[in-house]
Amino acid sequence: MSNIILFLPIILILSGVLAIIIPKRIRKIYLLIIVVTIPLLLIKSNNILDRVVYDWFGDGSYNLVLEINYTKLLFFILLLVSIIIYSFANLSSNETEEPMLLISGGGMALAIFAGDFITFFIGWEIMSWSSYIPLINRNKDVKAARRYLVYGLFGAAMILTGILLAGLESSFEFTEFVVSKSSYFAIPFLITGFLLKSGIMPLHHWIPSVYNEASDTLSSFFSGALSKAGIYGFMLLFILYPHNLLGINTYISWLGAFTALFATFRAIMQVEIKKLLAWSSIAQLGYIVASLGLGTAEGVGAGLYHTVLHTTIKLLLFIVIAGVINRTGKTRFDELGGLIKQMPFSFIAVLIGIIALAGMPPLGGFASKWAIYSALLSSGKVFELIVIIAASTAAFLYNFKLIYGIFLGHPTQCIPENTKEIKWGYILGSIIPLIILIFTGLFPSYVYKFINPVLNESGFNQLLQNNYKILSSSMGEYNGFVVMTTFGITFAVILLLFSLIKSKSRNAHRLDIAYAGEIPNESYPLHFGYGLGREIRRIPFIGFWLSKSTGKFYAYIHSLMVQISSVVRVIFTGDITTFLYILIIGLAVFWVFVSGGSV
Amino acid sequence: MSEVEELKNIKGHQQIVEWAVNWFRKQSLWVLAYGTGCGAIEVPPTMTARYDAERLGIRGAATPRQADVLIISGYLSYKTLKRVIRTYEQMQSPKYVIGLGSCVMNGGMYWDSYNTVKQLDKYIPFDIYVAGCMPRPEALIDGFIALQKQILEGKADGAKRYMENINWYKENQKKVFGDNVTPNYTCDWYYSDGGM
Amino acid sequence: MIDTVQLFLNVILAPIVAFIIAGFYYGFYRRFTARIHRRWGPPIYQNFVDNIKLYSKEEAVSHGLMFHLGPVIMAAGSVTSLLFIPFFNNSVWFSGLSSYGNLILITYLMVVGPLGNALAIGVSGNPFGLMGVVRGLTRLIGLEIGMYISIALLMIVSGTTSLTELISIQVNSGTWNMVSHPLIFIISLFSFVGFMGASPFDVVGAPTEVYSGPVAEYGSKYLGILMSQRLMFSFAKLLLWVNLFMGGAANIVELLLKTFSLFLFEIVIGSVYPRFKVEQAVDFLWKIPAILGLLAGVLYYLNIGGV
Repeated sequence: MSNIILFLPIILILSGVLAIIIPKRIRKIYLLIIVVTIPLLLIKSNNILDRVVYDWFGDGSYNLVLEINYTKLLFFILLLVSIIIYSFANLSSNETEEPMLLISGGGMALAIFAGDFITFFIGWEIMSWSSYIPLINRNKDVKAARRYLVYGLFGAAMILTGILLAGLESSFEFTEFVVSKSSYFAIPFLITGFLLKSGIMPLHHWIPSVYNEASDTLSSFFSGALSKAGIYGFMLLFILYPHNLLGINTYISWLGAFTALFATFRAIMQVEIKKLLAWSSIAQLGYIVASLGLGTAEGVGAGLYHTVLHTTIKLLLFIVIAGVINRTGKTRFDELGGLIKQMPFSFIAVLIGIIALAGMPPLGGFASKWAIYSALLSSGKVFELIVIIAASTAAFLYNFKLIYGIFLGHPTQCIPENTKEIKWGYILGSIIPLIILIFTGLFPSYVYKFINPVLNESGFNQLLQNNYKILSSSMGEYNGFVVMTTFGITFAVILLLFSLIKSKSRNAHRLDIAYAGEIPNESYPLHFGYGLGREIRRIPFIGFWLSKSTGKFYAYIHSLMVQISSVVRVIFTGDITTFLYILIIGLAVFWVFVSGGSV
Repeated sequence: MSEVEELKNIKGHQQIVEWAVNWFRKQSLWVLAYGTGCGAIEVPPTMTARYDAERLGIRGAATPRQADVLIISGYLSYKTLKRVIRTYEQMQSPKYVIGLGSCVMNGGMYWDSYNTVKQLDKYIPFDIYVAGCMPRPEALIDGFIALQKQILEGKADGAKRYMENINWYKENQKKVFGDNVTPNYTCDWYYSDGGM
Repeated sequence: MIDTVQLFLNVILAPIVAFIIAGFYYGFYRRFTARIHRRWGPPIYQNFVDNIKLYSKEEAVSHGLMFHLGPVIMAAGSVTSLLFIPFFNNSVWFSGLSSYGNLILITYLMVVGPLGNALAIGVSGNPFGLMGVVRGLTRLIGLEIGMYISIALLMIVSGTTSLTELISIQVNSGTWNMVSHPLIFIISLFSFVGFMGASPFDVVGAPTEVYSGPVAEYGSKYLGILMSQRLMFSFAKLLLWVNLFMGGAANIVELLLKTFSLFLFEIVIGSVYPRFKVEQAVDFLWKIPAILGLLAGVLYYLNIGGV
């Protein structure tokens, strides 16, 4: 037992298995205790970087390796933060999905800590399967769970093919990995699997329904942690392969940019809160992949920066939204509205979340967007930058829809007088992301302290940042501290001057609005939650693309599969006698084939 | 220049500030784009190229929140009266009302109609009347200049009168509308006790 | 010590100067359109009168704290973005915080205010105001495309995102970007007209259609602060374009001349053209600048010149 940190994945999985037996009442506390001790262990251990090898068959042919380096540590910390925030919110929620969360988190940790392909795949499968079970248990929409299963299986098959191609000629261990012809052909398979996990178009089809059908708190884990497994896989490729072999990344980068754009349009069209967040999650992963695909130090650094921030933002938003849904029982924008007075904290939390998500200057979200833009600029990718800019401008619309539909406007089906602030567990969970977002806004390049070692390990130059307040790149620098303080001081001064004006403010009634002389009453549809932004369909370009969907393509594949299986049905009727005949004929053919016809 | 002479007569610090504020108010009158009756057609020529009210600082405003002046341009049916009162109450003081045409004063040619308002100043306070049927844009501009003069002298106090005599105005409105009055929140700030 | 005093004065004075200059510009604009209509138009100081009148109204209808803060956020956004743009290309005066500024930051700071204000409009609960906001945000998709096509090309050609460096490149070489990169300048003009809120891209605040859009619920001091910030913000945009494409200004006369000529261009366009619907505007702003941008990109990659 050299280093306990190395065995955290297995501890997590085992404690998850243990949690199944534990009575439901104390599960929440149990989860909290486990996830709070892990960071303490991390802080306690002085020499984190370590490696342990287990000889599987005893003859040294296959080694199972667990190891820690800075890349793995970064992604493990993201996972850990997700689990911690989940466990805080879990204290107030009605769900009992702790065992599967722990197993799934442990599986992802195993995949992250894996030092060879076999362990990686075992971890990957544990992660996928255990996150499938809570979905099927929900009994809400079995289709979503089934879709998750099918896509997950396809992704796993791709990754398995990739692993076999990559590992058979050299070694399954990462340290002894040698690039050969077959391992070169593994790249597209691996990338397909990773992109599917992150939900990059055209492999994104499962994400909205799965995020929507998962329980409200678990969605945060899906978006915050599990989608980052694909990004980790990407980083793994950079570590394993020489960078000049990863030429496919240019196309992947474009794929990411288009994902960002089209997923943003889709997000604007959504009426369900969590579906909007799911599409937004796809779009943000698009930014990350677009940036990673540049294959330059700046690009990868910016992609990792955005990975960190996206995890934080989505955890915050999903947790607060889960709290709102928990309080109100409503999940759609046209059912909510006007809750700002009753839920001031969640309003501010969502506000900070969307400021960061939209990439507005004073907060951390802008820093990572800025890093992505300048990475694109210094690579000379103007058109990709334009696509990304279009996406992030359109993102203002869905961000505004998110906050307007819930907190602003007029109440619809949910009576504000009967609702209260979200429960304390959700508040507790949303505090950590809030602090991170404000901190990264003030000190935008602090995150590079963690990113630089990762860049180093994956064979890139480090991006030197002299001052935590200044984020610098080859195209210039951005001083987050100055921007934040300037904006703050300007705001305070203008507010002071503004309140000196003599005219007396009078708070009007909610329905006392300029409405062309009419007096609206409660039955008027004054809330714009449903239709907000949906008229972008009328813009020809956007309308054209919104009318297209990969769903149709997959439905076509589905119908093709049905046809093929109906042909198979002719032979394989399920009748035992036909089966016997086929067996006999098959054996005869096999016999002829093996013996070459000679008796 | 009458303004200069008037300025000479003013003594004291507070008075000068008041005069200056009134001067700014008079120099910038935003008229709500709200037309009732046949007088509405006289407003566009007043505003546009032919008579150019903008040279006097008069221009249109889209919503009652932004507007200073409400022109009642002709006869009002009882149905419209409710909207006019609502609009007037939504405007922010200081606010002024100009009555255009004789229908506003005494019913005019609709003196025996069953569904028009005969004497409008029972329901909202007026600062200026422009007589005629219909008065031409010149007359309307003349009305505006008279209003500006009133404002400068501090005599355009329609909003204050409405505030002080709110009970009387509301009673009159109630006589017309019966129980079908506007909800409480539309005018409760006029009362010291916060509602009827 | 001197530096601090200078910075302090710059920060205080820049918005005031911008407000005064833009106030007279817009006063001119009103007279200019009046002359096109064959009338006299208001006095040139009319905007200041309007603004002071709005501040000196007696009551102001509010819809709660967020409604109160929205216009303040809007004004803070405008002033902040103004502070990051230098007035002159060689002077320490009126340079504000421009040494910290870069183009991407400035373009983003320009959106902070409207979004903060959108929250206030949302809280007011006025559906017309909200319709205006949605139109504004939709139009922004189109505007930013055109703007970023030009800005990104400019940044790549110049190799920097810093505004001060872009100015010094122009000063050192002696040629303005609008001369050396004419195509980029032409692309940027489309979104310039849109950003200034001139026709044909002014559907956001259509008075008869959506009840003056975003400002439907604002009156008295709230409308006043929005008007003040609009003047400062317009000047900030003029300043940005002068700095980007016209080599900045060496002294106050040059500054006035350059900003005024840009302003004149905008108002001439604005008084001639009718209004686009919002989807037409976005479609237009995606097609024309995108085609020109594609051309510019091809020219740039083939090293032909004239980008």
